[in-house]
Amino acid sequence: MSTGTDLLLFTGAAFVLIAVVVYFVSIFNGLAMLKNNIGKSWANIDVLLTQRADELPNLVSTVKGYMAHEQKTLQAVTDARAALMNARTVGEKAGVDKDTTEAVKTLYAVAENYPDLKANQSFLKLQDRITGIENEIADRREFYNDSVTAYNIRIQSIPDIVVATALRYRPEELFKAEEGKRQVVEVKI
Amino acid sequence: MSSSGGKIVGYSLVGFFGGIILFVHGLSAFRLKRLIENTPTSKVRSAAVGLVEVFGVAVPCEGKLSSPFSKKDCVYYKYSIEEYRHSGKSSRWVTLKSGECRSQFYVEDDTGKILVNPNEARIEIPIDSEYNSGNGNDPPECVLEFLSQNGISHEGFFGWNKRMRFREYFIEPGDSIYVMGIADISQDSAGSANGSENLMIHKGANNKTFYISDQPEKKILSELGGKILWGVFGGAVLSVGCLAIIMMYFGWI
Repeated sequence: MSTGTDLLLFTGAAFVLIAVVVYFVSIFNGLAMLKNNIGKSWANIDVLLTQRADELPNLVSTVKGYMAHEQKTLQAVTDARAALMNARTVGEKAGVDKDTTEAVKTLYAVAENYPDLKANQSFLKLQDRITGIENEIADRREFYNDSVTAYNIRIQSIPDIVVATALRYRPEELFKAEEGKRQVVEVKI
Repeated sequence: MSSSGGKIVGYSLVGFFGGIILFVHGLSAFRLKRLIENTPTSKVRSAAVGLVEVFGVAVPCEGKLSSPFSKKDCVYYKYSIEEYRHSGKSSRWVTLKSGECRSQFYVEDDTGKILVNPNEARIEIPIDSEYNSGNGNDPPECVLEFLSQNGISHEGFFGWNKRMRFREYFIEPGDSIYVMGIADISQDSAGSANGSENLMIHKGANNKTFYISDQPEKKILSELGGKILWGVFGGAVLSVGCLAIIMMYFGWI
């Protein structure tokens, strides 16, 4: 083969090689980015869960004076908060997050029967603050689940699975309440 | 080397290097496509510091701009004035003047709005209006006004109209807008009613990705797919093909 043909083949091979290297580097970087996104978006949810958990004792102490006969409702909020503080995994936190949201919703519904409480500025401010945090949690949960879904699909698709297996990447858990994992820790107020 | 031979080698060299540029652009489009695919769209309310992707409508921030020809209210515009020129057997469009203007704006979705500073963003939007002039076809009044203000004549010899085209691209308030960039704490932002009130999307110092388009994500990805195909495969084939022509010309293969 002539030198010219060699040069031509070399040029063609160089293009193919560059494209293949860039492709695999982008797979590696993409997977690393997806994994970091999951960590980051989970941290963003966790911050909000903590912020809401911090507000719940204030809510309970604000309404306690008005709702002395609603011990069961107040207990449910306190229990949910305690369970949230004890939850460790994503699944556990998702379960108790749902319990907390339901307990707080029930408390708001019961509060409708107490006009004096409904007019209390501290209660209204806390209600606004907690509702705002819950809305943000809902948005960030959607973002987190989108990140996890994108990552889980990627690490099970060809050719990403090759890089994912080499890096020992495992599927991540969605922020979704599973009935079996939902548990409420009993705490007395 | 004969004159026609010189031309063949010249064009082939241009093709060879053009192919490399196309190839690099294709790889760059591939990188952007992967990044967009890997980044889920955030609701504005829950946007966090770092690389974010948001989709909503454009809302003016610090007063509206006015597009140069059609005088439409907008938050961004770009325009070009081109003349069709003949040179020997070839002819092409030559840009006489072009420009753009960017102002800060908000992207608003159903959860709030977030400030965007579009400086240094790669903005990809289609042509919104195009006007033409030529024999027996005067430019519209709005274009004539702009031409006279900028000292550009649309008339050639004997007062005949030159063959020209005037293009305008803009983002109007209310246009759907896709933004991918770095969200950071900013002193300038004060518009969002929710958690994103202190954030502004701009070009990051480390992460250079800052992309704005008025197309939905699916369309952006499909267009990038086309660019990758043309850039990577087309560029490589063009380069190798042109190199082969040069070598054949010199009898190296």
